[in-house]
Amino acid sequence: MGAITVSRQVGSRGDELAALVAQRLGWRLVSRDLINQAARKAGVPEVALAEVDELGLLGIRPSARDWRAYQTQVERIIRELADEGNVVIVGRGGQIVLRARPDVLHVRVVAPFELRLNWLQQERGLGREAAAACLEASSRARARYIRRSYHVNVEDPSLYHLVVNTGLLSLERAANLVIQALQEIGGL
Amino acid sequence: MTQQDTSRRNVVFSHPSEQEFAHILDFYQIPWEYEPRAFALAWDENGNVTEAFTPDFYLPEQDLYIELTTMEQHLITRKHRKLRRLRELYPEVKIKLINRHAFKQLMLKYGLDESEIPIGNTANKESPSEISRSVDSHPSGE
Repeated sequence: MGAITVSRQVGSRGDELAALVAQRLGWRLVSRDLINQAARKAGVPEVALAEVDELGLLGIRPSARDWRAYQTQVERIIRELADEGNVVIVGRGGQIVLRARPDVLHVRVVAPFELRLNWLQQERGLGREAAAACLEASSRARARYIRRSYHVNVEDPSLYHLVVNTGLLSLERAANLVIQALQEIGGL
Repeated sequence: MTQQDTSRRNVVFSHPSEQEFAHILDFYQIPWEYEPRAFALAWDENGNVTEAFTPDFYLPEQDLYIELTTMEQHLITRKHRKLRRLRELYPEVKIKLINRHAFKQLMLKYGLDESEIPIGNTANKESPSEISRSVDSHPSGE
C-alpha cells in the first residue's frame, strides 16, 4: 500500500522512468491528470492551462485566490492518492505534501545539462537555442512552483530518499534502484 | 507526429492566431477541439436561434473553452456582451479569454513559430449556416 513521488529535472526522462516503475509494479501513474483534476475540482480550469504553460506562451496569470484554490485541491488529491496506495505520483510537490508518510518513497531524477538538452531537441523537434530556452524556462517554472508553495529548493537532496542520474544509469537500472529502495522502506 | 498534430492538419482556421494557438497546445501536448460547439444566445418568437456564440477552442482535459480576443474595442465590447449572456444561460460552461496578440512574440522568442501548416480561408463562424449546422440550444428550450 505504498506510493512513490517522482520529481524530475526537465529533460531527465523522469516521466519515462516513472511510467516504467509504475508498469513494473502494476501501479497507477498520475502525472498531468493531477493538474487537470485539481483545477477542475477547484472550479478554475484555466489554472491547469497556466501550470502546463511552463514557458508562459499563453500569458495566463491566475489570481492568487484561484491559485490557492487549485493548490488546496492538488494537496488533497495527492493525499487521497497516497491513502489509496499503489501509485506513482509525478511532480506537483508530492515529495513535500507526503514527506511525513513513512510508506512513501521520494525520488529525484536528474541528468547532465547536455543530455537533457539533446533529449528536448529530439523530443520536441527544436533547434539547440530554442531547446535551451525551453529548458531554462521550464526548470525555472518547476522550481518556482515548489518554492512558492512550500518555500523549499526542489534540488535539495534532503527532500528525497533517492536521487537518480539517468545520464549514468539506463532507465531499466534506474527503475531497479527505485523498486529496491521502495522495498527497503517497507513500501512494498 | 502525434495524432493531435495529424488532426490539426485537417482544420481550417478562421485566423492565423488560432493556428498559432493550436501550435502552442500541440507543443504542450494538450488535446484540443476547434470550434466544436455553438451556444445559442437568443431566439425569435418561433424558437429559432437568432444569435449564437462559438468559442474558438475546447480543451477536453481541462473542460475549458477558449476564446481568442482582439484588441479592437468595438469587437471586445460585443464579445464581452455575448460572454455575459453565455454565462447567464450556461453557468456550467467555463470559458477563458486570451489575447490573441500576446503569445506571438513569446513564440518567436522560443523559436516555436515554425509551423508550415497552411492557413485556411477566413470564414464567418457565426453565419446562419454555421449556426444551423452545429448550434446547441439551451437545455430549457428557450
